[in-house]
Amino acid sequence: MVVLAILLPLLFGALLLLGLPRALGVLGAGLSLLWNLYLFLTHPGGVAHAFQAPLLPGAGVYWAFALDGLSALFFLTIALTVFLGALVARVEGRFLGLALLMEGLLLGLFAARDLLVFYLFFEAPLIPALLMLLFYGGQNRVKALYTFLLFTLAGSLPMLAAVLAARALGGSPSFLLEDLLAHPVGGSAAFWVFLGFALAFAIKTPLFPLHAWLPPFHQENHPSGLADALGTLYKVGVFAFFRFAIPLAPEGFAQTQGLLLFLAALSALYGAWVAFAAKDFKTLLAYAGVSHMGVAALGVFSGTPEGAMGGLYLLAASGVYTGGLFLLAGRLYERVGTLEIGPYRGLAQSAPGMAALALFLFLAMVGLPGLSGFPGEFLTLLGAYKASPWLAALAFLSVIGSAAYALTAFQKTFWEEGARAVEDLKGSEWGFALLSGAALVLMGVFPGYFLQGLRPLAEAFAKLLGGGA
Amino acid sequence: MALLGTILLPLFGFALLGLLGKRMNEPLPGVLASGLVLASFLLGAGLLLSGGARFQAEWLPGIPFSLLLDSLSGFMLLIVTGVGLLIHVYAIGYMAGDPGYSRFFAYFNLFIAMMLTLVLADSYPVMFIGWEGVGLASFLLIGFWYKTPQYADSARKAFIVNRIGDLGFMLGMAILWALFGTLSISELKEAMEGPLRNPSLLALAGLLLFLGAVGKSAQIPLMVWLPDAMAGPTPVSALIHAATMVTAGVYLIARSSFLYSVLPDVSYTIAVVGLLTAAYGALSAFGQTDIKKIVAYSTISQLGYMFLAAGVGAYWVALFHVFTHAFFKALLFLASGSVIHALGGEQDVRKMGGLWKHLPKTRWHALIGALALGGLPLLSGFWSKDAILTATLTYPFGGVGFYVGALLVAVLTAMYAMRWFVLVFLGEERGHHHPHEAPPVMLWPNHLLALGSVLAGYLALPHPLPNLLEPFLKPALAEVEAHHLSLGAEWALIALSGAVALLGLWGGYVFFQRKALPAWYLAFEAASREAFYVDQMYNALVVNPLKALAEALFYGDRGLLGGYFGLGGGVRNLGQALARLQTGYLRLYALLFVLGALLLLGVMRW
Repeated sequence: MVVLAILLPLLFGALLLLGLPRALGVLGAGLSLLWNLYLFLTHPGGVAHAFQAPLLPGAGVYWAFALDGLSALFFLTIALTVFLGALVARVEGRFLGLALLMEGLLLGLFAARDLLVFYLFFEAPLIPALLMLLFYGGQNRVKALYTFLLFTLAGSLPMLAAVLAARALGGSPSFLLEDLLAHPVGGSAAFWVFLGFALAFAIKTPLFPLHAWLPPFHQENHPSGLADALGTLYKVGVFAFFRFAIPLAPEGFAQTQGLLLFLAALSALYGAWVAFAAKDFKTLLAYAGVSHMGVAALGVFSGTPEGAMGGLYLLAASGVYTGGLFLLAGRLYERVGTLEIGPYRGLAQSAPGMAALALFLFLAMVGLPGLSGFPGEFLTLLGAYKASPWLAALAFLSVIGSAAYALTAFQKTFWEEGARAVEDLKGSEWGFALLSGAALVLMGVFPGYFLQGLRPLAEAFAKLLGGGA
Repeated sequence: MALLGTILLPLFGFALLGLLGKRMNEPLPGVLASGLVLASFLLGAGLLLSGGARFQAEWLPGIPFSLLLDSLSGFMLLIVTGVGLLIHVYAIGYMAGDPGYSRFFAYFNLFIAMMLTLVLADSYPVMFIGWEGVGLASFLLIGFWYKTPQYADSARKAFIVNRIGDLGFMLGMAILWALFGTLSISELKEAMEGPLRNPSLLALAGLLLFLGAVGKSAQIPLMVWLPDAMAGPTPVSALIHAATMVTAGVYLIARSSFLYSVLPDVSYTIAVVGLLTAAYGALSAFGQTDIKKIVAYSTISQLGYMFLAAGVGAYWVALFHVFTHAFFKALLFLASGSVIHALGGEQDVRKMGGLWKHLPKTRWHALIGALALGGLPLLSGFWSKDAILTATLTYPFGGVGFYVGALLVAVLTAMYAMRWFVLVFLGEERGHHHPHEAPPVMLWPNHLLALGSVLAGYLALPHPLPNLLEPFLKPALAEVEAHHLSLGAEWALIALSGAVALLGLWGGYVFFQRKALPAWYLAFEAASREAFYVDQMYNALVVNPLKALAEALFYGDRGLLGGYFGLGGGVRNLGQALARLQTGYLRLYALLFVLGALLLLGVMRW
């Protein structure tokens, strides 16, 4: 079941790389979405669909995947975002093939139940991401690629050491997650193991000041926004902290919690502030992403059940709306030939459907109650306040900043008087609008439904850290 | 479930008109929207008569979506849908011919749905849905004519300034959650009975919730968005920025009276902010030249009165003023709208004058509205304002200072109300227009609002005359011990406030008909026109520095990357060097990856 979910996009991705037409990729992304939707709707709760096969049994490494409430939610939002991209991004088949490959690898990342396999899937999406940047990126893509690679490698090597140390020092019989959890690393070693993980995960969150790779990554990627949407989904640091780093070395987390909370709060405020000065959509969304991930990280670092639920829900939801905004920016680019904010204006006149869609996505990002951004943000606040009232207040200054940058960008694009008339949403773009709109509303109005599988995990997480429900 | 229906009806109107409105001909969208508000009104009234209602559904973990129709929320529901209906009908005429006709009514229905969510909420997060929802509707309607950059700016400003208050609301909720583990208002009310835990933290929560109210109700220091909000079509100003949304802050305090009644210091702060805002709004109204902005500053001032009442602990009095104000302020705005309509879009009072003979019906609407605002004895505004004045002396958090301040503001109110009326309707015609009276669809709502402006005050007459409102609202509000004045003292005060209003009205009537105004007044007027430079101050001290800092951080952030490589210009050299490697780069990475994997496997084996 879960393996099929991972293999499906990998298979279609490979076919597209071999030169099969783009339409097949849309089909693959659609099938993947349907399959993951089915898995989500029928998910019985707890850990389900476990798959295990030996990889290096002597070394205690297994192909181990399973779907729990957390990964089931991410399977759904990832498949949805990729399908939205496949629907509207006018890119050649091979590009979409890389995107599908990356989807499969990301699904593997979220389902992995073996630390070493997780490590492989944590690193592997880098390859399609880099290839998309290299083959389809902009003028300065090499510099962006180099930066991205360097940051990632800087995190990978200590992480590899931490992976090996986590098992060796904890005395676990294998790299399987359940074994490792039964043998957490303690004492002074916990600090170093945690630090090894934390660096890699902080880069992939990204947390200030390790976010520097992100703006050039987005700025130089293809204007369609497809690579950016996948890149957004690849910001898995918050998840990785929750699933691996913190439970495997809770004592190490306890020693650094204050610093991490501070960095998360700072990222939230800093990202929103800088985003306000952004002159183009990609830069805006890059910094907005830093801000949102700061909030999400704050939730998980709070160590409370509300905070963890909120942070992870925000991570899942932001994949859809941030990814959606990147794709929408791509649609705009196709019409006006630039990603800059402001040179044309007044598009709501000629493209009211597009304006409505943009407003929906922006408002979800701003955290308007009733849309998908709010539940995560609010639960995070409730949890973060318990952990640190002052840092919660500092981080949530970003709700003012987000209104400022999002509505300014909206106004300078869709409102005011513009000489330019553009085509409104057409064809598959309507599918994009309806599907993403439905996701934003459903995730905003029925968060309890989407969170039910996550809640026990978040409560166990808080209990592990000595908090409690 | 029926209770949810009151919200779903207008929400359905929003969805329907938003999706299909463009295919409908005028006036169908307006009639549909009005009909849905009427249905919601009838449904709500029926439920209220049958003794109230509750609704609950799952929402966030530990935080259900819960609604409660009790006397307090029922009272607000009737104002929102009742006055809302009249303004919807008026807009059928006012918006006729506008290319965005159906879009307007879609937003209008969205607003009603969100406002009902706000008042019916039985938990703070649910109230926050409505709270931000009405903010969104307000944003969309202020920016309704979004082609004008200034209007679009006003819409954005309103949303951002409100967000400052909303952050306070959110943090207040976080404190309550940490203290009590629930955000349900009914449950919090129960939890608050008995000895107070952590009173100082509770006071902070109260202050933060009040910050939310300050934003939504345009109180000092967050009042700067409301005058700009007049950029929206006039029915919007009447419905959202006078009669309903801006009173949400007052409602929040009243709904939370179980909290504020045990927080004397916070209550005192609320009263002080209210009185200062009442004075500020009144003083700023004098210098305005836009017919709507005079009324807008008046709204700020009147909201200040409501907070004064809520601050001293007279929650039902605050709601009484919400009620009367909804009538006479909606009337003033809609009469302004009829004037603007009559003059083909003119809003500058310096180009009006002498409209008395041209607008035989609207002139009476305007006169009744202005007199009710000015507190002419026996009109609605007189009774509610008098109740506030008396309350400052009888309620626990009040004081003589509040009374004197509020009385002085009452004089100012009567004077600027007359200035507005004199400049628009009396004297000679200063413009070159051919005014025409509004159509019946715009006149009838005003007839009814005028009737309300006269009669609404009789709902709660001073002792010993009948007071229907206080006992009706009592079960939903906190018990506050008010001491009673002697009958003689009470009626002496009433006579005083009546005399003061008459003095102000007469003074304004005479003074603003003078050909030449004295120099000291003109100097005051110049400062008042700029609302005492608060906007300019905020821009210079807050907005521009924050923007500049954003730019600075933005450029600093680029430097950050260079910093990582330890060489400012070195990055470029590296980039160039790497550019030469470009073709072989992929293989290099693959090589690195394979090497890494081999290393890993080697480690495993070993």
